[in-house]
Amino acid sequence: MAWPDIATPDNVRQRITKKQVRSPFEAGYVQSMALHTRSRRKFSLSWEFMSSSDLSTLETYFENNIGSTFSWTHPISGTTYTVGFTENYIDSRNVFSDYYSVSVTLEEQ
Amino acid sequence: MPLTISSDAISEKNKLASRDPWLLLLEIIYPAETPVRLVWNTENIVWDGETWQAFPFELGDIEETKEAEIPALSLVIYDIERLLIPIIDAYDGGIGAEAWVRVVHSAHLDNAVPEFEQQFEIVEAQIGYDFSVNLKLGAENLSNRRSPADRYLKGHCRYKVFKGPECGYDGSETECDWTFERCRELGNQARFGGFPGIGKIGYWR
Repeated sequence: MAWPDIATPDNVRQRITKKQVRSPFEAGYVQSMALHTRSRRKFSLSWEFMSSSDLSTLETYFENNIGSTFSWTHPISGTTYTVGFTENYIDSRNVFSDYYSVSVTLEEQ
Repeated sequence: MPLTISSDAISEKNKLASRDPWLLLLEIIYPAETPVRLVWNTENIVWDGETWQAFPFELGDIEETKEAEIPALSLVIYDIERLLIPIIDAYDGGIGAEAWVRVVHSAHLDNAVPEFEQQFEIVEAQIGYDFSVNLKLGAENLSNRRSPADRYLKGHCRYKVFKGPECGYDGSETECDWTFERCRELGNQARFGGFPGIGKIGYWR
């Protein structure tokens, strides 16, 4: 199921993770090796002013898809990732009138 | 006993820094089921002509005790996709199923011979509330082995194949009931596979 049609996030912070194992030796050098063959990315999306209708759409999507994976397209690079919600909640704070500050974390499968 | 590994593996293990990981493969074989093939990795791999599914699992250390217990190790598989749980349910725990642990190198997946492999047997199985499958892997259960290995019977031939190389009968008869009387009828008693000289209940050794 694709990401809902809501406003593009104001900020996208991403972190790429690929594990390695490092074994330090007394002689001072370190032997290192990758642990997996594929890296995974984590995206923190935030909206400074999200309309209440977009928030409602996002919350409904969250309720229907928590625990599952879905396609999400990075707004800048245009790359599509298969991701899931990392947290068990969506943070939102009313900024003024009908607008909210919202943050969501997605993680690549 | 030293571990024999390929020259590619020796080269990889001696590198000070490597971008290619060693991969831990787990194959669980239940009779009459498609083997479950898992790899501890972030993506599926193809090795030995089979696809190995990326899966989270934890393999414990081999435990040895002074109580003369059979060495065992724990295996925890987080079966969120319910790949294994239905099979375990169907087989009432699946005690006795085979489990193979193998190690291959991701840069040399064309090498069909694993750098390490060991066969275990599932000796205990538990399913946790969080879809975790806790298996205890042990060595072969010796109580399943026939012991003593051979049984010596007075009137029953031990050769399984009539007219086979051990039986040696080459006449026109087509049936045998593996008794000494029948063997005598066929004139083949010199090659009878039983032991007429021993007691009635046979002898175990």
